[in-house]
Amino acid sequence: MTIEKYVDMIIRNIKCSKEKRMEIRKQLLSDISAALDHGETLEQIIERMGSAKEAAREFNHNLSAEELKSFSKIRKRKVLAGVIIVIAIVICLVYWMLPKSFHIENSEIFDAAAVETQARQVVDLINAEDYSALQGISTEAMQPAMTKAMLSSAKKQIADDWGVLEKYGNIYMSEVRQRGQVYAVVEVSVSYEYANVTYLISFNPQMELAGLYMR
Amino acid sequence: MIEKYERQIKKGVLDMLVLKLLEYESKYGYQMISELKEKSGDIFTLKEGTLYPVLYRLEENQYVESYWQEAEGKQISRKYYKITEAGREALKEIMASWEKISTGICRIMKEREYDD
Repeated sequence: MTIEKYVDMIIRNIKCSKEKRMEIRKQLLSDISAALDHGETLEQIIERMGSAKEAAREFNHNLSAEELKSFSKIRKRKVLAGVIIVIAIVICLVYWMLPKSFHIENSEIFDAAAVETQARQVVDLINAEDYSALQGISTEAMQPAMTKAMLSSAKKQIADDWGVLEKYGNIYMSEVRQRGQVYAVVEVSVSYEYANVTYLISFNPQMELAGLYMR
Repeated sequence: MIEKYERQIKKGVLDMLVLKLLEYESKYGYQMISELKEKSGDIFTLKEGTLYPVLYRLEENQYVESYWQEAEGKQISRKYYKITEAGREALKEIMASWEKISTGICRIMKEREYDD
């Protein structure tokens, strides 16, 4: 145990302003140095003053009410500041996680016409059952889902036989940002001979198929 | 339990004793602790955690003032305390009060002796 370590352990537990603690630290180091000069050993000094906790308790017992109140006020302010920071971080995190969307016309990343063309191509490829081409325009993560087995199973959830495509209905496009990712999302209704299907198609900024949902 | 009462009685006279120690000479913390112990016959064995707050309080009341001074041949300077004029006046008044109070206490404590 060094003198500095002993004194720092005392100071850490004294309940007063930081300014006062630094003053006490300097004074303690000075008086302990004087005690050593007068022939006391560090062990004798610690035995006389008590353990760091005991010495700090002695200070806290004798410091003025104003100093203790000031310490308590500072500590409460620090706790409050900490809570506010945590809340601010949580709010920012939630804001970052929540999806934010706006019309694709306002996008600086996606071109509305290109997005619509690509979305129609996806529908056409599904209708044509051209799974190889679908995989070719999909992200790596999407490719395993763009298979005959997976898409046939998905189509059967809506109807056994959709029939031929009759017409495209309403198409809605937006740019969506969530968790730092940006997507163009297209909702397009398509009428088939025996079913009405709404596609929800997502593209990444490279215009790769990143998401597909049919209902 | 006795320790508790002793501590309370001693606490009441600390300001007076510290001012008295500083009456003729400026002193630093360890010096005051050593002198109090020696001159009181080991009755007053103060710790820094008791002495420093007394000194801070006396300084707030402007009865003492402090200054740092380099100790001869030493790297670490020492914090000295010096009594002020206001401190000398206060010491006179406190000592006068102490005389009155201790006389009154003695009269009560020796009551039976007088009656006998």
